[in-house]
Amino acid sequence: MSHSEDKTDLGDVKSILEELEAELATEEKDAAKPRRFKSWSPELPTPEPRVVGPVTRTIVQAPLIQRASAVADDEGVQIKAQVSSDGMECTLMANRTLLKGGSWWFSAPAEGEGSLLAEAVFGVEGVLSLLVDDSTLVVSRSRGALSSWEEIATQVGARVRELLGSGDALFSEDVLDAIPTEEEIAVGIQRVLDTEVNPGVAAHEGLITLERVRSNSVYIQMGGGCQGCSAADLTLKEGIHGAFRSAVPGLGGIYDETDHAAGVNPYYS
Amino acid sequence: MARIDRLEVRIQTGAQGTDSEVKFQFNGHTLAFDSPSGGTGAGEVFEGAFDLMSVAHSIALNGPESGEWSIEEVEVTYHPSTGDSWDLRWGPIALNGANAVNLWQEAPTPTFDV
Repeated sequence: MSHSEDKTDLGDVKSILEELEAELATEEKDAAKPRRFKSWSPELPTPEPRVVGPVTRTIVQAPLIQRASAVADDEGVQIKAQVSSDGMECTLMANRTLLKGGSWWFSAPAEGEGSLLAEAVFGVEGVLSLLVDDSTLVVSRSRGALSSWEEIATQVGARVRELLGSGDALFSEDVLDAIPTEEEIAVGIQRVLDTEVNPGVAAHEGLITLERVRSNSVYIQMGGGCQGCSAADLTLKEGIHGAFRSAVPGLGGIYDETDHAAGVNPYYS
Repeated sequence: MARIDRLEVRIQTGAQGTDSEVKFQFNGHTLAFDSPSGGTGAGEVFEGAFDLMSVAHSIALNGPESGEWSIEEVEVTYHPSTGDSWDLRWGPIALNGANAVNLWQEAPTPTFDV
């Protein structure tokens, strides 16, 4: 081996060392970076056709026949109260018309200002919201309410009876003027069903249909996966009510046809 | 949800009767009534019962296997394991081979005067 060859070899070694140092530095730099993993998805087999079972029938709802009138109008103002099975609401049924030809939803005390009936009801401690439909009041209470339903309902009943006796107008003209037409309601509700509600419940094979509009109250049917579902009532009250009321201001009662008794006065109609 | 010991039905047929056996669904299971009496011809009254002895989630009366069946009125009496019995009545409905009419509703909650 000559000196020149030795020199060349040393130069090669030096360059090799420099390359190795550079690679090492790059590796250390890469190691400091967060690792990124490529997404991976398995190749799923094509699903086999589902086995066809017995015919699945569509569940339909027949009209519930209400009980006959128990008390005549000439027997004085009578009010019955009924607490819902979940304890969230109390329905008060009077033998007098409170709001003729319509219904109105007061979501908070401020909305009741100017309407004597709403002011009186919201004056009872614990009352959270109020729906008035013909001769029926549906009252909800705050979760932290200290009073029992019996106490709240008794106070509401006394105030309603007193107001009816006074002969004063129970609602402000603003409320009566703001009741939308049946056509406006039908169009608005159908739109929100098609664009919001049904795409949501479709995941559970549910289908909500608008059965009819009476004045500014709507009657719906919860079919498909909603029929008989234990969460149907929760879905209706927590989800559908909000969507409907946002879409159609002035909407009154929202009734599930499978619970028709909630929408009319079953004792004094 | 209530446990129902016994279910009794009374069906008043309207103008369109049926020859199909009267069947109902209980919690998704299709059953025939025990000791049926009467008929399902036009204007006839059918009565049947079934000892369910189970918690009810859904009850529905099936439409006929073929043709239409117009029902004028259905009256159902529910006998729960505990508490008082209650009854409900439904009005006119047309049934066919693709549908069934709901016959289940929880016992009404009690009312009080205020």
